[in-house]
Amino acid sequence: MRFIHTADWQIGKPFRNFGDKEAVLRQARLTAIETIGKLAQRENAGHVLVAGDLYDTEQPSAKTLLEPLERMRAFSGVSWHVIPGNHDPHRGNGLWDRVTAQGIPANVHLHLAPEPAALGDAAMLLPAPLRRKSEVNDLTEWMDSAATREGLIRIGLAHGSITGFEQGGEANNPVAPGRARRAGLDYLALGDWHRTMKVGDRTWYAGTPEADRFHSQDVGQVLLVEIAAPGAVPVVSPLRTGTYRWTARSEHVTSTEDIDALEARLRAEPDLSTTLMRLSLEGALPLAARAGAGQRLAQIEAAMFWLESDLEDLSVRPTPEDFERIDFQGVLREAAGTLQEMAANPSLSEVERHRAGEALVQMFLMTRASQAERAP
Amino acid sequence: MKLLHVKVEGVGRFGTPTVLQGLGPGVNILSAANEAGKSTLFRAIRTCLFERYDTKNKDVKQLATDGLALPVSMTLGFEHEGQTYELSKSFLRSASATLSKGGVVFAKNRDADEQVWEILGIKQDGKFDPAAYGLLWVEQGQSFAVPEPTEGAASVLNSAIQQEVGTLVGGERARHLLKDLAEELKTYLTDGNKPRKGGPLYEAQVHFESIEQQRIDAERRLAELDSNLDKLSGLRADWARLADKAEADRLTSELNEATKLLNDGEDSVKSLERFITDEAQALSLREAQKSKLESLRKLSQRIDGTRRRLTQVKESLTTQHEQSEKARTATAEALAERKRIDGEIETIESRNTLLQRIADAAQKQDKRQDLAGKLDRLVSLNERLKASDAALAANGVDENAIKALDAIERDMETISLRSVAAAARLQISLKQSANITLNGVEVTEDTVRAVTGPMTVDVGGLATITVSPPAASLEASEAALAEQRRKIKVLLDRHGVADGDSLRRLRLARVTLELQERDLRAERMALGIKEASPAAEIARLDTAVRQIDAEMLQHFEGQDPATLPSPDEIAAERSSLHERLGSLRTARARCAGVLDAQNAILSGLQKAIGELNGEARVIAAQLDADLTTLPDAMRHEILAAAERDFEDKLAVHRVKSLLLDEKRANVPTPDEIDKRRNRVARLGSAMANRTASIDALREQIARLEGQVQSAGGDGLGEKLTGLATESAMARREVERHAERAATLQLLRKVVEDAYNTRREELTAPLRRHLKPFLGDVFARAELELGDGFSVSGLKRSGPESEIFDKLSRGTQEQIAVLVRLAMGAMIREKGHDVPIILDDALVFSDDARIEQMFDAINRAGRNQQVIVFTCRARSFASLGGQQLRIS
Repeated sequence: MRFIHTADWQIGKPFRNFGDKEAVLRQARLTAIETIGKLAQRENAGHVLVAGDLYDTEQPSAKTLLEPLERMRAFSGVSWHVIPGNHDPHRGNGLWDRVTAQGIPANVHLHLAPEPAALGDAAMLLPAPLRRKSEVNDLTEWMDSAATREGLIRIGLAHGSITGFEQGGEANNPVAPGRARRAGLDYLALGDWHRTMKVGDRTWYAGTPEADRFHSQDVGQVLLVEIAAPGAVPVVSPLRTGTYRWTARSEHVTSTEDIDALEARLRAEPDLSTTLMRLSLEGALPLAARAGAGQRLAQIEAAMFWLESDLEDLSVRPTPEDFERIDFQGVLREAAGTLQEMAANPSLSEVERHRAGEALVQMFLMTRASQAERAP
Repeated sequence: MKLLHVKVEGVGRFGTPTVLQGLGPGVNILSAANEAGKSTLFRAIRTCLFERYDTKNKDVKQLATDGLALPVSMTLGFEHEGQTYELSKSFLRSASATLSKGGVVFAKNRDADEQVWEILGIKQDGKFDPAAYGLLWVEQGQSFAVPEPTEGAASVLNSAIQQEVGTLVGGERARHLLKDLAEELKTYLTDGNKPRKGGPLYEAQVHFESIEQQRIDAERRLAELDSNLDKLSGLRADWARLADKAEADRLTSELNEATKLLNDGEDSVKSLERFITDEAQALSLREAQKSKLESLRKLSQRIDGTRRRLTQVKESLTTQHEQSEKARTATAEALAERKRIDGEIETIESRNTLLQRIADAAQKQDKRQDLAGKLDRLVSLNERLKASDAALAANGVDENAIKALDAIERDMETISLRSVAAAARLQISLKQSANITLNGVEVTEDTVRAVTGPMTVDVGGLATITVSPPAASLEASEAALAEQRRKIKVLLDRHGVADGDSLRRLRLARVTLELQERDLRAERMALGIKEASPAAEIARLDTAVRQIDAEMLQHFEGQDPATLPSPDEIAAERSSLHERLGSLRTARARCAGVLDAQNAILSGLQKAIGELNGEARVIAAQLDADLTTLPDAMRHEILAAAERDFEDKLAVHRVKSLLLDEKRANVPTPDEIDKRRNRVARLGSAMANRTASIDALREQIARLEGQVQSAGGDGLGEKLTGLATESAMARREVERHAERAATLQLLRKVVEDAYNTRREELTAPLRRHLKPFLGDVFARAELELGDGFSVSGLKRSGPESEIFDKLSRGTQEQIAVLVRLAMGAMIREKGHDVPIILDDALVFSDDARIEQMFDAINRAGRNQQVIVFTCRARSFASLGGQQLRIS
């Protein structure tokens, strides 16, 4: 018995803060479905279990509603088994009624009630669909008493958080950690956590097939699950499906040399053009370096799919040369000194100190620009 | 430099050679009327110094005297750094220039121009700028403008300042930076520190508010959708519960069963009602028969009773008749006794009346005597009064007549006395042997007489002397007296007397009569007669007397009064009669009591007899009637038949009653029927409600489904998620712009603070020089200087600064002049001795302030030459200094 375990597609998720990249990122999530279909074909997996959150919201647009269905329809040799998650719970006249009303492809199976369903001749699927965003009760409990024919592989499909386990889920939909054992499941396919996670030999979170946030799974993937026979330990293999890599870095810099090294490291990263990065810089830089950091980062950003720089914690530490570049003496030199004192004054608030530092950088930039204008 | 003399020709109104004389160190003043040529001289001095001799520019052409074809010529004598110079220039025609020093010409034409500028230091590095001269020479109409130094002038000032404090290092860069900052800040904020419309901050705020509004709207719609979905779930659950067929069947079955139970019960009730009716009818027949039997039994008893009662009534009637006879006898005896007593009483009362009349007659006789006496006195008084009234009527001399007589006699005496007083005096002095008579009367002693009428003096028969008063006087006196005598005569004639004494006697007689009259009236009043005329009283008394006489005649005519009993006898007899009368009346009352009692007895007996007779008739009639119904002969037979009939009816009712009890035990009670009916109604209502609820739910579900479908189809959730992100981004954008603006503001403030601090240091020398001049006019005031020595404000009486442009024109002018004086002092101190020229300045100053300005000008004049042109000779009289003349 081979099947693919996936979850948290969240089709329709907006990426507005990525500007014109939004459409690309949305499209990547649909592409991931096609990748999954191809993988299923390649790995001879007849079933794909989608453990909830196929859609990002209960109220997607009509186009968003149809897009994943059409992607799945394209792989007619693959059976897609879908349960509602906390993002797309099943309520009367809700999302799934709309889906049903649109006409479900023959190879797509919605499991909207906790009822056993056959996965071919060898296995029975025990789904635990969510009927609301947040369930207080463990919806997988019914699996304990769900009878299946002797000799069939029992596979649970649910969306929620394993209680007492790492807090990686989004909603309070508890799943008992020993559910697979108690219910005699050969495999419990879970969704909700966006990173691949092995809870136990028979219990896995697939993660999202296309990463969608920082500080989570870098690259989207699915799990290829192979169960030789009822009671056999499943063989689980992660397979990459994601196009984009989401990564977050925090770097400490104190000099121009540090900036140089950072740039070198960033440029050495693989697949820069499909990498999204959140870069947080901390430390203190001379004015010239601090003023130039922005431009350096802008160049790196151009090499990447997306670079999000956070310089809030990066302060300035002007050098004598910095001050001389502002002026050797006189009004501006005095003003720069005042701003430097303010930036380091512990009696001022953090905001005021940061603002003083920014003002100093601004002064540096403006005087430099002014000098450039005056230069022949 | 100090100007020593000025000479012009062909300049403005000065067509002929004209000299400005009297120039010297310190303050110089030229007071001249308008159009005297002061400003022309000012322009001539400036032109001579600063214009090239061969220029033909507009300003120089305007200086030329109208109508004369003369060159514009001017000569300036001045002292500079201990040397005496004279500069002469002719413009436009025969243009030339010469510059001499100590009387020796050492430069001509262009060289002279260049040399003089070189000497005065107003051309440096090949560039011409009048510098301090332009700064300190204030043209007419420009005195209120704050000095704006030209580049050269600023250079001179800065040079003066740099010698003292150095330079404002980086000032230009700072100004440049501040200008750039201001420009960028202007895109963010208004002058009032609000986001500028169209600027990035404003637009970011607008964008954020728009997005946020959309997000809130979408959130609201989504909440509505969520709510509708929840409602829909609830409604579907309700619908599923209500539409459950098993439940519907159960309800229907219950209703059918309840309805059957109710119908059975109601049928039983209807059947019971028939039994009740039968039983009631049997009961009614039984009771009717029972009543009939009882009536017959009562009738039988009554017939027997009636017969007994009739016997009793007849016996009572006999007794009553006997008692009635006895009572009649007693009544007749009492009536006879009462008649006898009444006769005796009548006799006694008749005698008593007679005795009373006799006593009354005696009293009336006494009264008649009193009345007759009174009548006699009244008649007499009346007669006397009539006589008195007649006498009074005859004598009409009242008090007024006497008063009139007295008045006339006093007037006559007064006339006589006046006549005597006015008359001449006749004095006769006797000699012993003389025999003299006056008006025929011998004069025996010395006599003096007033001649009020002709007087005849006979002197011993020897002669007769007649003395008469003046005829007019005599006549007037006589006429007055005659008038008074006429009045007396009229008065006397009115009362019929001959003289005054008679009149007075008549008055005395009337007074006596009036006293008598009063006495008579008092006497009449004493008789009790108040009316004015006593005739009525007399008539009344006479009538009363006659009435008494008539009464006596009526009762006792022909009877000797002596035979009548005396009052004592009358009293004794009347007492005896009274006593007897009392005992008779007592006896009569006793008789009346007996009569009343017997009458009452008789009345009661008659009433009882009547009633007994009536009762006997009623009883007899009743008996007859009862016997008709129940004749004695058939009584037992009738009663026996009625009893048998009653027993039959009783048996029938007993059977019906038993049947009814049996039926009633098997019929539901009304409460039970009501309960069954309620149950049927409740179940029916539940069925109807269920149907109605299902319909309503179906309708609600359909409506909500429509709403949900509509709301869910437009991707509301997707939209909201996008809007939430957009809103957060927009908020961050606002914060970014706001922070950028705050950063720029901070930078501007820090740079401005540094710049201002340095500028304060830079302007310190000028402010130091300004301080004494300012103190002359504005005590304890401070001037705020901005860039380029501009005046930005004035601090006078507090920390707040007044904006220069908002000050009055007079104050602005005064400050402008003071600044120029200070600049002049500062420049002079650093070696540039430039005269200060003020053309028609201080035009806006009041009297008090202008005096203070004169102090300041004189303070300047202590160290450098100050030349003042003015048309206000009187106002500037107290300026002091040297008076200039135009000749």
